Amino acid sequence: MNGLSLPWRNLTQRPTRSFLTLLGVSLSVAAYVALAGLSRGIDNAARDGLTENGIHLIVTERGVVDIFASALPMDLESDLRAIDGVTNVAPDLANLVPAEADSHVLLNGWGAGSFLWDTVPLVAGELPSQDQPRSVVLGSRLAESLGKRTGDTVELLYEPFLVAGIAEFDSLMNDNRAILPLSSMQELTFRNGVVTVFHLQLEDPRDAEALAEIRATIESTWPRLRTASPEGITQDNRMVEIFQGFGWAVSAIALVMAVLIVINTLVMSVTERKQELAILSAIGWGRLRIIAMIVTEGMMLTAIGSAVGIALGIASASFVSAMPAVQGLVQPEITWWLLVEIVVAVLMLGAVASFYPAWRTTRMVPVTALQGQ
Amino acid sequence: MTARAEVPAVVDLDRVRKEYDGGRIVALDDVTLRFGQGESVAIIGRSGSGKSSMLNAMAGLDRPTRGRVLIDGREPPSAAHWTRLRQSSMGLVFQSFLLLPTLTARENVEVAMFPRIRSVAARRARADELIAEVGLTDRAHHRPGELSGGERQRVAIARSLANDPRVLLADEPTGNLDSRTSAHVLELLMDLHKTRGMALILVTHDPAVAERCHRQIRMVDGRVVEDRVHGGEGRAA
Repeated sequence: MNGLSLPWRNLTQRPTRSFLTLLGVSLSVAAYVALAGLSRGIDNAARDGLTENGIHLIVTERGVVDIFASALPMDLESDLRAIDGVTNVAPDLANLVPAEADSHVLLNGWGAGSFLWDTVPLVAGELPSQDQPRSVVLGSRLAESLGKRTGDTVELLYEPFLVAGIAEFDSLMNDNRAILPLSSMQELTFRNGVVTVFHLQLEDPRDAEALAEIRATIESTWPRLRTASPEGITQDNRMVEIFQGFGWAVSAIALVMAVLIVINTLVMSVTERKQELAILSAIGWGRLRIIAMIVTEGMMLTAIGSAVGIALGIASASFVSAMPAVQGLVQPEITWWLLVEIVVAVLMLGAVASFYPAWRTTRMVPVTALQGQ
Repeated sequence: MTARAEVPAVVDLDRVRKEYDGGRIVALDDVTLRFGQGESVAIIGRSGSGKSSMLNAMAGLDRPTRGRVLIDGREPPSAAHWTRLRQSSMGLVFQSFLLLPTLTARENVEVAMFPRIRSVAARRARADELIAEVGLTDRAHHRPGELSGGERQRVAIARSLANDPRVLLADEPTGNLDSRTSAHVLELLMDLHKTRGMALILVTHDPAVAERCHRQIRMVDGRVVEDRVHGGEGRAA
């Protein structure tokens, strides 16, 4: 018998309670892992998608809750192009639209001659021609999930479209979208003369000073416009902020619940075992040693709960990201670093949570507990 | 009351008073006693006479309301000091055995050595020795729930010896046992007292048990009314 086997024995002697506590801790950790992973996944998907398209700066309508609600007049294109340091401007009308199989897909409408078309890595067929307004390019993962090849028809916005080409994008978000001519998109979404964003290419995107100047020029000339870098596109997006805020709130509640569950379990456990702890004191166990044993029990519970919770969290995040409603829009980003952070945080919380009942119990005069009072 | 000065003292009680319920109950009333090394002492008296309160005060399991308890002439200044004394100098045996129910007999003995012996193998070997000494080798892997009352008390005695105490404090060690088992347990305690040379202070209400001890202290209403030395088993070497 060693210093770990006694706490372990204490836990296994009360299997139902230990199991329920583990379940509580596991679910809390799982919720945290899944929400944090999905939240980071959204950031990464947006950043990678925009970077892959060679975009240096994005211009949207300021203050919109949902980025797809941004509505900018097409006329702005020439004004933006005239700004010093801006080499290219590409209008984009984007939305999540209903598609086949009860799913929603990201649909982008790009103008004729946009630099964005040059970034499409076609692997089959061709780009949609402006003469064929009802034709699209599908990302390869979207084509695969819908079971489409070039020449097939795909239903988007309740309208049939010809699959003109299939492109294999690196980024998950791009590879799960469909692209069609801007004019078609405007017509189908009743948004003639309007785009969601303007994508800008700059003369020297690494020149931070020039970048800041361009952003300042745009935002001061048109106070209702907002500029963002590809990395920052989700940072000032109300929809993403709401999702992330919700996610963090749920995660925080989940962790607080985990702590309370551990405290509750150990308070009950040590209250029941007051006499046992007093026996240890009577045979020469010091207060710190007894506290250490109870804290070890708490940390064992939270360590096992973390391991199970991480597995559950990864499974849940994968399940959520595979759901038709969000498939292809977000890939959970669960890094080793995130897991280390969670394990360390939960172990520390476990230690703190178990310290209280341990400290409380060891304050008793031994004889009181020995007599079962 | 008699203060005994002829042998070096291991435990001294100096005007110890213990009150409960805000002073309405006086368990110990200005008790002054000296217990010498190697003595066998029986503290006798009726239920509620203060015997167990005195033993608890001597073991540092309870704090006197007034007065001092001295171990080897010094008053332990804190609970931590008392804990260290229970690790190193005192063994405790209780009427209700007070074994840990989730541990086997051997583990119950082993657990008392945690604070002093780091090596798992050394603890195990020592526990095996003590279990053998109390005649329970074949029951070493049984939990308390699987042992008889006498066997449990022998485990408790083995545990009390784990750290080679200089004084063994036993509170009604035969109180929950039938007469035959009581006799065996008492025999074991007396043998250990003699062979190990440790002081044995036991609380009992059984005159036959008390008769085996070298010295008898009678208590009534928290006071020592008699402190006498008679033949008994004499003082340990």
